[in-house]
Amino acid sequence: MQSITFAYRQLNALILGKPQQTRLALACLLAGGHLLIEDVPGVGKTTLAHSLAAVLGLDYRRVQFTSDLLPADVLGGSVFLPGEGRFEFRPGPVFAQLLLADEINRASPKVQSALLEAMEEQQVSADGVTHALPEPFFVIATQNPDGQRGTFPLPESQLDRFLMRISLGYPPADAELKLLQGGDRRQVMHKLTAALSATDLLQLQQQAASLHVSPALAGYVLALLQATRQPELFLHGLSPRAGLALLAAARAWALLDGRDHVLPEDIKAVFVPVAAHRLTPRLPGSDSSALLLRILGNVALA
Amino acid sequence: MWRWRKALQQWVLRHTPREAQTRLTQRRIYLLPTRFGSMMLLVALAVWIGALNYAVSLAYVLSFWIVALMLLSVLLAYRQLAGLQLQAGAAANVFAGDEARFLLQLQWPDTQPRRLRVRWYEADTVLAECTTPGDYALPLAAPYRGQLAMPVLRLWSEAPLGLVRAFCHVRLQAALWVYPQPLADPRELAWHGGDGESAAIEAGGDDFAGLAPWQAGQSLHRIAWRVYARRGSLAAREFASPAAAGGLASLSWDDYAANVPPEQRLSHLCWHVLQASRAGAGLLLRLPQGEYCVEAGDSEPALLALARFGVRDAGG
Amino acid sequence: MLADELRLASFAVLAALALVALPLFLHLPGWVPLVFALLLAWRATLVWQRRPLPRRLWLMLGLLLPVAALWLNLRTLVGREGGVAFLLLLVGGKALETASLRDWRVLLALGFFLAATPLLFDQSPLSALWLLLSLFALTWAMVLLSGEDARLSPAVTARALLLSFPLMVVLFVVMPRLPGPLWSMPTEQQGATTGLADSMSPGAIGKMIPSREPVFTAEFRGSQPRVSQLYWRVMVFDQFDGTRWTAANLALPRGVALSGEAQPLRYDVVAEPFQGYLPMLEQGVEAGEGVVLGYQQKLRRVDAANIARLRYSVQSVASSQYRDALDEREQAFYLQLPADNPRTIQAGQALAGRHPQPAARLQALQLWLAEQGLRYTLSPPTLADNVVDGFLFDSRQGFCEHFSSAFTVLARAAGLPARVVVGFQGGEFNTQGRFWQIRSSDAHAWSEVWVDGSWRRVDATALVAPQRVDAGIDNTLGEVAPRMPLVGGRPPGWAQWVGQQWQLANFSWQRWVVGYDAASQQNLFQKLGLGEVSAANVVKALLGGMALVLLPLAAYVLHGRRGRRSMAQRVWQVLGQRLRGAGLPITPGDTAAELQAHAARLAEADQQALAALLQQWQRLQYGPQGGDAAAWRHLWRQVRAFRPAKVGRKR
Repeated sequence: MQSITFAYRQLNALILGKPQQTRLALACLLAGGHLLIEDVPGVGKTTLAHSLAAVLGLDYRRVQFTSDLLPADVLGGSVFLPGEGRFEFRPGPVFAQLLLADEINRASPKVQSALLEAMEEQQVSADGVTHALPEPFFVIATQNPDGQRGTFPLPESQLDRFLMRISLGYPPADAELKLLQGGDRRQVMHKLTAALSATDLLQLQQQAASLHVSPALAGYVLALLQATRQPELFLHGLSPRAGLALLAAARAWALLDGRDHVLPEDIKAVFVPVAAHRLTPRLPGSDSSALLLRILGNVALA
Repeated sequence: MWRWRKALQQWVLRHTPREAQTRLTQRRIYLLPTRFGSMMLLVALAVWIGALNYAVSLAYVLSFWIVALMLLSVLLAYRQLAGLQLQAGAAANVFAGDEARFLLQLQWPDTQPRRLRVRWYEADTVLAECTTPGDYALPLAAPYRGQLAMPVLRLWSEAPLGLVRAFCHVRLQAALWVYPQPLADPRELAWHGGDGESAAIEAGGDDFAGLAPWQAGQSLHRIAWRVYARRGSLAAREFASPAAAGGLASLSWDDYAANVPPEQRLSHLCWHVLQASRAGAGLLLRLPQGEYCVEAGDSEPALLALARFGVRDAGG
Repeated sequence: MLADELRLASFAVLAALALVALPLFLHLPGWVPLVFALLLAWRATLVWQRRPLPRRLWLMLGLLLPVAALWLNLRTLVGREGGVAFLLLLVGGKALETASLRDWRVLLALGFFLAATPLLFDQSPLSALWLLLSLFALTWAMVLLSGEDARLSPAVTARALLLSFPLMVVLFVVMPRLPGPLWSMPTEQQGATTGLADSMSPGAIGKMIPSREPVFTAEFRGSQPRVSQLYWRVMVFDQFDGTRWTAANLALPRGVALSGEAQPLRYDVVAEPFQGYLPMLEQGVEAGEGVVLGYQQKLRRVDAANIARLRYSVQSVASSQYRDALDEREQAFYLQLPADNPRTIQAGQALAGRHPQPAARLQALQLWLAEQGLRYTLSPPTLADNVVDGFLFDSRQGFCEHFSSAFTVLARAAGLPARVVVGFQGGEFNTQGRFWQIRSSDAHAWSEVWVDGSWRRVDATALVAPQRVDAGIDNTLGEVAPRMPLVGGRPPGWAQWVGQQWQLANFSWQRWVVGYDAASQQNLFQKLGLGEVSAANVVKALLGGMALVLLPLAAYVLHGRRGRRSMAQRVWQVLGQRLRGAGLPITPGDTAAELQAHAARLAEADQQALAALLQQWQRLQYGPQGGDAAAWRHLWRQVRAFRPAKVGRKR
């Protein structure tokens, strides 16, 4: 527990003025889920992913997604070895404990789905051979906001693979001032020390998954799910899988608080990041986050 | 009878203020017996006369119980509407001839279920049966181009006995634009070549595909200066996709003979805008009130301009 | 409304109608309700199989048949029986042309009207119970027709009826009653009901004696009479054909004249007419509202054909005789005898010869009867031909009918005008309710003999078994009772107590519900200090009563909580109410932490109290251990006691 708080403090020292987002990112990884960061360039997406890897002591790779990227560039592929006269599988960047997929929506759908499949199955198949991905395995994908030219927005069914979608946004003024005066952040990044090891992380994940969820809390989650299923709000409401994801994220959030049970506060904290990207508002132009916040305001605890 | 009804309707329409949101109080809620309720009162009266004549005490009990149920219904029906909070949500624009969908957001302070219905004041179709707080989409035919404001709503409830109806009229602040109805036009579009630089690039063999934010390192030739002049931001013309067949289409109000009625012109223009957008082409739309340069894939500004043409109310 | 919901609701309407009409089987020719039930069943089948309605023409023709049969059966389509039967058939027909929601509602409204019809025949507590059942069924159908969720509908129905009950009571008590009917009802031949028969045949065993069924009640104002004074006169039989006594129903104008000026007894009676006549204590001097005292000292309703139960007041002087001037023709009428019973006639004539003075002759007749060795019993042997002779000289056993009949025949044979009076003797005083309960078994018959310008009562039964009059029939038959299963033994003490309570309930029912009329209303208004039942006072009482009932009702309906809530929900809601009451902007979705944040504006102590409550709440509701019922109750009490000070409007 000490170690995770330490990790959190280090992250906040680096990512200024975004305690909520860094905490969500940490909770997402504790819950064993993949994270999608949606933002305009330059607000520190890469820094967040990089420093997360650093403080959690994870083996980290980064892939810049472009339109000419091929699936093999991510997953790896078979290479002909002329000396030995055979093919050998060369693992791609996906064989890392933490993969940063930068600007995932710039890649072609083919590459996107190859990556997402790997994320789902925790393995890569090439030439009929299955190669297991390392453990733990996280993907942090970043994405430019919709509507920019030359992008391939991720289809809804694939967005579901990400436990959370967060957005960093511009830093608050004081934090930005500090940022401007503080010199090169990359220097700071190098000073980050791993607060825990991969095994510690796996243990913490197990601990999170075992937090107590009371019937009353499950009832509250159910009420939230049902509220999203009103046909007037979204095309489709949240699925039961989304409900489980919500609980997993809330457990991790509660663990970060050092509690042994989940409170409605935890659910409320993770609800929008977990649910917003899984829903399409019925009315074009309305924002699912705003609708979800309204639901949070109206669904009573008891 | 019919005239009275009409006059009453007019009165209600005139005296329902437009509000952003509202909370129903006893001043807004009207209560009247339903047809069934009046019938039950008649039955109570008949039973009462019988009781009087035959001196049957238990018949008095029956008669008075019916009346008591009626009185109770007044309270219960009132309760269905009391404290209701109404607000209109954002509504999407539509094409003339389509169905607009206004969004009604209903809230009430307690967690008790209620049972109420909604319809437009001037139409008889029940639009929604509301039992839980939440958002309800209310369809409304939008036959005409222009701005369509949310009409007066009638909310009512007869629950739980159907003897007394509580109702109220609300006009919420919500409006949407109704685009002209697209009307196919055989006329060929004038394809705009743009200025000299872009012509040179076109000669290079790639088609113009649209605009994207200009990024440092891109050729200066690719900057769309016209866009810069208007919007102050640098945009680069993209020529990447060979599949995009469009160019910069030019549309003008004056392309049509003077005897073509304005609505028809707008409909034709609308059709062309949609065609161009489908083809992934940019668009230059000239209307008497101004010029609109529309980026490929985003037909909204052009459509809005068409909808706003000589702004009119699409309600009637 | 969805088609399936309407289908369910239609079944509910049909079932309610069937339930409502069920008691009519007791009061109408059986085939009428049967036809009604068949029509409903037909409609239900059509709904069930989703088949279309029958053609209206066929329906009309089909309905014409039973209506014609009804006409042949009752010879009328109006009045109580005819009207109800006709209405029943029409409603049945209406059910078969009911399709839309509106039609079903019309049918349901007719059902409510139909629910009133069994009350025209019977207003017992059982009828009231049935009315309640009918109302529930009808209201349930109403709730279903209005589109309520089928699972919630019974609760909604019960709630509506319960909440409207007090309103109904206020209306019932306050709405003015008229003393008389609006129009007079057509006369109907009513078959014999409980109570007294329209004739008396002493040869057969008495029919009314065996039952302990209550028949009427009387309530005396002021002093209570003695049991031996309680001769309840109902009918007079003045014609004898040798075996059977009947009433000639002469209607001569006659006033009432009493010898001696005693203090009259004032009392109220609640009774149903027996063959058109109402019981009254001998000798009546003044009849109250709604009743009239007529020839032969018989009391009847003003609207004579109405056989409904009635509450009336009478004044009587407890006396065994009253003055009446008979002319020659009348004297002759009261002396008529058939040629049968020669031995009795001979005895009477012999006594007449010995005692020329009428008064002395009457004395001698009584003495003679007492000496005949007659025995009082409820199971005498049956007699055929010359029944009086058979009783007096052979079997020598009998009960009041035998005695009164024999004595009257004897008196007539002796040349004294005489007649038989039928009614009730005695009654049981209910000490709790302070009223007299008269039962079927109190039915009695005695003789009246005209001597010296007065009718004098001669209770021949009392001559033989005086305890019959002093102690009532229960005690008279004490020893013989076990041998007579029809009468039943004297019940044990606790059963008597239960019986008395039941009587009291029944009496109150009759007095306050069935018998609540203009006079009772007047009484009640005066007791409540409202004065006369005038328009102004009625409005005052109505407004007052309604306010008394409606205000709490409105508060309950508009602000009361509905549905069953768990302890956790109650705790949470009350907590929210308290904070809202303190002026904090609480929203439904607030969590504990958010409430605590809102509470930053509260006083320090309140904040701490709230923090403790919220901590407990979180532990019980979400903690791994959860909370048991006791812990929840503890928290509930604490939350209820938590009253934060209002947030100051201005600082």
